[in-house]
Amino acid sequence: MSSKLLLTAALVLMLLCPLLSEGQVYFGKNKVQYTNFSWQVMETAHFRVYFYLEEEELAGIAARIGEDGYRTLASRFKHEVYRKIPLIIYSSPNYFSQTNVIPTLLPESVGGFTEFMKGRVVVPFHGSYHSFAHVIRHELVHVFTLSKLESVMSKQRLMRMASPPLWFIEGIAEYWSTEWDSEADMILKDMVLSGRLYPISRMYELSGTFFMYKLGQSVCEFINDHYGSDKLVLIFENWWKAGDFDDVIKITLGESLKDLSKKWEYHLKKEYFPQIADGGLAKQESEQLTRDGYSLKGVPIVLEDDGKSSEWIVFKANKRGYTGIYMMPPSGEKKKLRTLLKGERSAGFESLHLLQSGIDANNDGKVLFSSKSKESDVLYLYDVKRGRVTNKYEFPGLAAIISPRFSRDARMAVFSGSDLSGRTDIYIVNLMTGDLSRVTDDFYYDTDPVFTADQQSIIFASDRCFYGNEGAINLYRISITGGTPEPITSGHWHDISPEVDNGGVYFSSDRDGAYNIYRLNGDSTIGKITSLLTGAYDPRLSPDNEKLIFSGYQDFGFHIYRTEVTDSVILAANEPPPGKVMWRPGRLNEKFVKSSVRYKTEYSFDIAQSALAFDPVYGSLGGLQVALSDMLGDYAFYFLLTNTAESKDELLSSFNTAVTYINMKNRLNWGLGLFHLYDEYFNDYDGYFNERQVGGLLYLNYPMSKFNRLEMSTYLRYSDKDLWLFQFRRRGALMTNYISLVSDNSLWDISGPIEGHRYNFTLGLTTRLDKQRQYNRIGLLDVRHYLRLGKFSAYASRLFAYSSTGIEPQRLYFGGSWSFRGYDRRGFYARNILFVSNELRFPLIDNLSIGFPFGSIGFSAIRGALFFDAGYITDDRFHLFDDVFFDELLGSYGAGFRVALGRMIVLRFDFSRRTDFTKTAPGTDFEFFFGWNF
Amino acid sequence: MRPRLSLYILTIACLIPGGCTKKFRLPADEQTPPPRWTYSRQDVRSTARIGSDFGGELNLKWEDKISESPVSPLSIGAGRLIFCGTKRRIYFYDIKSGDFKGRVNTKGNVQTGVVVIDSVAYFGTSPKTDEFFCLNLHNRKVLWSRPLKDVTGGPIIIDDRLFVGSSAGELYCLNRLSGEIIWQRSAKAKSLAGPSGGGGIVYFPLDNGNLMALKAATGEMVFEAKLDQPLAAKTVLGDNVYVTGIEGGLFAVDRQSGETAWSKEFAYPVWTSPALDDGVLFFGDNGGLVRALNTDDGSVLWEFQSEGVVVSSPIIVGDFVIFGSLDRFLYCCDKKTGTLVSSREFKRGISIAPVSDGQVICVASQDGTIQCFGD
Repeated sequence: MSSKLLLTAALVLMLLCPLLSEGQVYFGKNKVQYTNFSWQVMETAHFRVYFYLEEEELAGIAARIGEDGYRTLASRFKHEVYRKIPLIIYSSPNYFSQTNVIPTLLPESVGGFTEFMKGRVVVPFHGSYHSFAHVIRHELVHVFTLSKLESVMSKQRLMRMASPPLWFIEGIAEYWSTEWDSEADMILKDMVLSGRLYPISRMYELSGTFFMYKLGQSVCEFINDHYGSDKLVLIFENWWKAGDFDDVIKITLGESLKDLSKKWEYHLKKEYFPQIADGGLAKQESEQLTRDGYSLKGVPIVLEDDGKSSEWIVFKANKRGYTGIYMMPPSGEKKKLRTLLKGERSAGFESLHLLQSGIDANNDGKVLFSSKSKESDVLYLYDVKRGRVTNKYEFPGLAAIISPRFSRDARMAVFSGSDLSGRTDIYIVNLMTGDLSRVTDDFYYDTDPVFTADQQSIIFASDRCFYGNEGAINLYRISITGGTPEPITSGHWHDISPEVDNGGVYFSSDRDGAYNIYRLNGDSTIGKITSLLTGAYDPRLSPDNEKLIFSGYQDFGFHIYRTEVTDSVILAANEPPPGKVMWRPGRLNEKFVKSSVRYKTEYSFDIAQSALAFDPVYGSLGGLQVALSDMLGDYAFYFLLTNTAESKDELLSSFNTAVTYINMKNRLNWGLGLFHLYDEYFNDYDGYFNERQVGGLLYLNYPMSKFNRLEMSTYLRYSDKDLWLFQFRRRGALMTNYISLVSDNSLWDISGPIEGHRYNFTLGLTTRLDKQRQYNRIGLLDVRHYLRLGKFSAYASRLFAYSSTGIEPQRLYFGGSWSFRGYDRRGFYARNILFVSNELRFPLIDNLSIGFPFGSIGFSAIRGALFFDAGYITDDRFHLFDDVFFDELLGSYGAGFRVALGRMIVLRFDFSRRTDFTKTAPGTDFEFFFGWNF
Repeated sequence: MRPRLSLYILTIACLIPGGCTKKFRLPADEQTPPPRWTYSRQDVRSTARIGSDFGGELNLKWEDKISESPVSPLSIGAGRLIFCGTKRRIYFYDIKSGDFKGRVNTKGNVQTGVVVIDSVAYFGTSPKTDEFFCLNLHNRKVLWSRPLKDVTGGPIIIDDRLFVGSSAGELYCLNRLSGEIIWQRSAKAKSLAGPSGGGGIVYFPLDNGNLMALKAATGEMVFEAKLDQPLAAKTVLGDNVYVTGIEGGLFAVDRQSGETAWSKEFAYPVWTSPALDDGVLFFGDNGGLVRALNTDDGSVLWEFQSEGVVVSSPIIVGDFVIFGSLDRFLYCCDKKTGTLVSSREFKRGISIAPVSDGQVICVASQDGTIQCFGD
């Protein structure tokens, strides 16, 4: 039976691939549908809002935000979008991460996205209506941008695939969706003061980052303010007039992009340099305690252990790609760094919410933190002395748990939680019994709670204040039994992260433009503790109350700092609170809702393309491919049609057709397919042959978690194989079953994985039904481990074992840059393979730009590799560790480098020498190929 | 079969060089009376008002569809409706019957619109070709042409002098007969809308927020009023110069001194030129509102809310104010009260101002549909 079955599977699975999570065919993480939502659709003047029943109230608010935003943007763009904009909303980021609108996994940092194929806007609710409105407006700017450019170009009957650079697209989306705030100011100020401001020509290096968004926003604001408020829309209207963005800028602004950049940089320097006279920078004014990566949310404790007491700071950090919980002595991590918990590599700790959620620790060595575990957040209690999690608290009604804090006696914990409707309120949990009580219950965004010293009240941050609808957050006090929260600070700014000490409250506030630490004194006066230009957050007092530990931002990152608690600059007494809450999020008036009905599956084209390719092994591929999916991406149909006829007589019998249906609505993803395949193929065992296969398939995929899954597939087909070189023809009804266990928690660098592991264990059995006999069996084990050595370096190892037995064993091609280096691509074709690969991966160059008279070529990264491969590949039976094994054992070693072009293409260059372990073959082989490292 | 095939091929071969299209040529014996709507905003003062006994009902008189999007202002000349498309063509339709009279191909996109006077057409083309033409419509011969960079909407002619602005920051006064430059002035800002004129002065609104007034004869500066927001629409001349700004401003500026008589700020950007009739200004904004303002003090007399952005400048035909919106409708409102009298829906939005000869109202929508309405 040769390798045809795997090839058939590959061909049909090719149709399945686009709807599965990234890389899921062999490895890859999983997008798990934990909840089967009951979707509804609300139609308004310009939107179709997709929501589930639990978020009905939120849908009305989203519709109102959308319609208001639409009118504003239509005005700014001088443009109307003549189609209903699909707006899909999720009440929590944890639910949002399950969306099937796009197949890729969504990082936690994604606040929403606009999908270009069907123009779908997908947005999660994070708890704050002000932020929600910002994200919806941001995505709407993308919708208008695409529509406007399409309109401008189609009016001119021009086709141009190029779009404006990403910094401009995201920059204008920010500029036209939100105001310039203290966080944006912090980013830009830090870049300017550190002398590392990116000119426009280099913004691509920050592609997709928050930095790029804010730089782009700043440039757009500069264009608007210095060149005229008509210019941003004119950039779109002049899009047809030039071939590239630089020329469009020249036509619109009368200056080149380079000159624009110089003026913008100068403008920022003039704005920020003078500020250094009145403020300082964290590294210069305080003691920096952490160094690598991002570190924040530090909690000082005194740990009693074996009669000895020692001071520590427990904190969260992302040092090399994964977020974890660490502890260090007060002098800093340079002295000693202890890893308490490594997150984001197992189902229990999928995400530790590095930036969003604080942690707490006490002198008993208990650490309280929340983590995403499968669908929802859970609360964990970690014991430093025992070195493990001792308690886990799960709350079925809560999707998110943010910033938990102990009570003084550690019997209770308070946190900010989001329920299924998206409301974010304050909760108290009894750590002894696990009983949960809700302290606030309304639509305001309540966060950062902390017990007062007497444990009778809670101080928390909330947008229930006078300017809350404009994003302001102030501090409130409420009894642990509930009641009406009383404001303790007030103003049009953000007061966050309260920390209670005797007689006062430390907190972080941007009331002076940048986030700094303040103290609310007992007499209601407020003292300013720090005067940093680029931000200070998360204040905590050292055990002796003489030092302040805080998270500070500088040089593109957060670190933990320590400073003396000095006499503060006393500001005027706190403004009297304006009184009762005065705002509510507006819902779209019922009269503007055209209809609200249960969602019915609506299929539309994802892609329809014609492409042809012929591969001697795979036969004809491509042809006409059509994909249809529904608005939520849960269901899809894939169609394939090609014809491999070589003469008119063969036309009707040579159609290759396949149709596959995929259902990803539930946790168990499944697919059904029918296919008719006929082509001429070649392999090194059978030579040229024809094969016709008619049958169906069933595919099941059950993700246990984000990292592990079980896959099963069944192929039932009639196969007519004509090996005309051997004058042999085999016809039969075959059934093949595969079962695979796949695990993947790898972390990727630009050229491939550098930390974690990837496993694939597959068993397969093919039975000939008409003769009731087993046809072949396969077993496959592919284990890959990545041991991190440095920020961009790792030691990678791979064990690959494959064996197939039976009447027609399935043979595999092996050899080449992706498998056995030093040997020809597809140099081996065998049924038994035992192969190990070892590779040392290390960085060579980051961001290489080579200049030419006509321009420059940039490479985002060049990585080096030293490798050693060994393999025993045979079509005979396995001879393990006997003379035959050692006689046939082959190896290769060498070095190579990988050049990343953007984020999608990696060029691989390998120089290798072969060995049979007795001698090394003369000459060095050079191989060039595309693709990531194994 | 073969002779028939040959016939087809021969027919196609003849059509290609002959041009499947109809070339516009003004009959040699045709007299062209002075048009009632010469310029993009009717007259050199850009009032966009025409006297008419139009009764307010938008009854369709004729319609056609071209395979491209109309750009630049519509105009009426030599009894024809004239407009330009994105495929570098100028179209001519008989305004009464709607008969397609032919077209003129140009080298570049005509973004100025076309002014026709005495059987001669004046127009300028966009970047990449950057040229201004004077074309004899009787014989399609170019009488003169001159390289002018990025010239923009609505040239006007006063006493055989042709005034045109440009996005390249230059303002020109040309001899309309010879094309010679009489004077040229650098504005250091873009003129997006072109000039208006009256009383020996031409007024250029600029994108740096300045309104530049120059003597028509010499180009000498009369004043330069700073209005602090980009001015993208033509000014209209009445007792004052009235100009809108894209940050929602409407300004009344003294025609001689340049001092601001009064100004108003509205919530949404204004890209439309005002229309002026009997002490009342009419203009639309990006919020979809069309307003009527008293020219004495800027007080709002009425407002009409459409469902889309209004970038099509309103015109006044008799007792009615008519404008298009990107909500796909053409509206006709009573100019005294703002009451909607009639409306017509198109397949796409309307971004170009309608024109009228007093008998019919012509409008073009973004999908290339041309419609003419009358009682």
